[in-house]
Amino acid sequence: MSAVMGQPSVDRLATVGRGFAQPVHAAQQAFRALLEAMSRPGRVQVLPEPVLAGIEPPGLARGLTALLLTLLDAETSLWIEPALAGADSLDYLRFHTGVRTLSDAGDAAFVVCSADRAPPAIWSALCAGTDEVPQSGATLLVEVPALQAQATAAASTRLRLQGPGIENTQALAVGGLDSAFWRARAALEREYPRGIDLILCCGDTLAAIPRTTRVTVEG
Amino acid sequence: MTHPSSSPQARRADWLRVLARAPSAELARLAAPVLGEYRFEWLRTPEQGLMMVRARIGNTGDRFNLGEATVTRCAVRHRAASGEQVAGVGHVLGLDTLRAERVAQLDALLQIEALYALLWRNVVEPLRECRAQIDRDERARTEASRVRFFTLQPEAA
Repeated sequence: MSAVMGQPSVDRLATVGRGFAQPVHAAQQAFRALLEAMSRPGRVQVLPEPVLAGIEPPGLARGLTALLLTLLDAETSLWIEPALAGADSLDYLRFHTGVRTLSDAGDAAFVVCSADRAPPAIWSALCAGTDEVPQSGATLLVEVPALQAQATAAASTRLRLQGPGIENTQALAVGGLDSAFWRARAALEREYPRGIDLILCCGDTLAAIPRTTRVTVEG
Repeated sequence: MTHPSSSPQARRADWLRVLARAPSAELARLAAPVLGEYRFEWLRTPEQGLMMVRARIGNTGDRFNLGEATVTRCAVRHRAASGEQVAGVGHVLGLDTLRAERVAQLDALLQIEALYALLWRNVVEPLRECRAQIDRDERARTEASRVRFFTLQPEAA
C-alpha cells in the first residue's frame, strides 16, 4: 500500500506543530464565531482565547489557522498563496485536517491569501459555482492588516454593507485591500446566486462578507 | 525479523508491526516501566474510526471490500534530552485508545538512538516472541482439525 495521501512524510512529522488543544470544543467555538460572522455580515467577531490556546501554526496567523482547522476536512480542497504558506504550513494543515491541497486556485473550495497579494482579478479566478449548484462557489479567506467597525488607520478602506443579516447598513473598515478589489467584488453581485463568500481575518478577529451582501466603497 | 543493516524505515515498519499486533495486556506490562519516565505531547489525540479492509480472492483475484474494521490512531511528540524532537504514531485495530497511545509513545522513543537498543531488547523482542507464541498455540489447536482432502479422495474412489 502506498503512503496515505496527503500525510506528511514520517521524518517531517516531528516538526509539525500542535493543532487545537481540545479539538471538538475548539472547533465548535470557532465555528460558532464564524456562523455569527456570516449571519451578521461586516460585524467583527473575536475568536475566544480557549480556541487559540495551544495551536502552533507554522508561518500562518493564529486566528486564520483556527478557522482553517475548523473548516477543512478530507472532503474539502484548499489553495494557499505560495508566498503565505511554505511546505511546513501545508504539512500542518494536511496532517490535522486531511485536506487536499491544490496547485490551482480555480478548483479549490477554500482559498487563502494575504491582503497585499489579493488582486481584483482573484474574484474572477475563483470558482463561483453554477446556477444549478451555487453552493460549490469558493470561500476566500484573506489575512488583512486592519479590521474594525470604524476606521482608525488611514490606510483602511471604509465600506458600507447592506443586505440580508444587516438591519440598515453596516460599516466596516478594512486595511490592505484597495478600492479596485472591492469594485471587482461589487461587480460579482450581478451573478447571484453564483458568487464567492469572503472571510476577513485580522489577528484573532474576523468578519465575513458573504455573497448576499452588497458592498459600497465610501473611501 | 530485522538485522542491523536494514534501512531505518524497514526497522520502524517492523517495530510498529510488532507493537500493533502485541496483546494489550502484555504491551501495557512491558511498556509501563519504560514510558513512565518520559513526557509526551499530543500531536493528535486518539481518534476512533472505520477503515475499509480490502482483499483479493486467493490473493490474486480482483480486489473487493472485505468489510470495515475499527481502527484507533494517535500521534505524540517527545523532546529528547539531546534537544532532538521525535514524533511517534500509533495505529491499532479496535477501540483501545490506551493501546494506541502506548504504541505511539514507544514508536517515538524507539527513534531515539540512545534508547533504541534498550527498548528493542526489553519491549519489542519480548512482544514479538509473545505474539509468535500465540500464533504457534493457535496453529497447534487448529492443526488437530485439519482435513487432508488429497488423501480423502483416493479413499472415496
